[in-house]
Amino acid sequence: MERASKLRAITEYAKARRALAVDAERLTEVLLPTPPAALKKVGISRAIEIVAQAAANLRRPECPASVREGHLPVVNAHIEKMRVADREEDEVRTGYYALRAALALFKAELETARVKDYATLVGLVQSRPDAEEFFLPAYQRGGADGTEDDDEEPEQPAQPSGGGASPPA
Amino acid sequence: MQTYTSRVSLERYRADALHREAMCRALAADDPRYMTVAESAAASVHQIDARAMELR
Repeated sequence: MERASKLRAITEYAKARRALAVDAERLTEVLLPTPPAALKKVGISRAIEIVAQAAANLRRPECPASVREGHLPVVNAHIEKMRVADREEDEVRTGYYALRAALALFKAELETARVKDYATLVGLVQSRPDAEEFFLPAYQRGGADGTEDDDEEPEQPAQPSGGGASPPA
Repeated sequence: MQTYTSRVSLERYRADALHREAMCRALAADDPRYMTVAESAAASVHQIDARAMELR
């Protein structure tokens, strides 16, 4: 949303700049000095600052009334839309980081419980290697995405009852 | 015991706790002290499930 609103604002800014160049070319570099291409390269916050300054310049008395009346309301509306989009994306980012932090904290609590269980089990079985058997490795082995175990014992196929085809083991 | 980092998935924590709970419940017939660990592991599974429900 940030990028879309910024692109729309730059489009309107460019229209105002072209209109100003037609009416009073010498004022373009004074009132709207930033080329639209340069606006595309800056972040949303800086773009808001630049376009807001441009809107302030369009209110100056030397700005032709036709440009001011034709473009200032539209530019102002797009500045507000950029501010809203910037704020909303900041909130989404903040929420995401908070969720990630909460998840990391939760995993740390689970890890504490694992360590406690391990200590209890070492006391019970009196052997660290035996206590290890109660825990799975961090990542499963074998799968393309590292999620499949490959060390499980193969299951014995069910023996058909009453059938005599299979020799006894 | 391999330490789990925050990069380990919750599913893996859950599988690990289930594995431990199952082993301890089986061994609790021989020594009831294993139940302490079984209950701790079961609590971890419940916490993970509750967190997963919250996230949905």
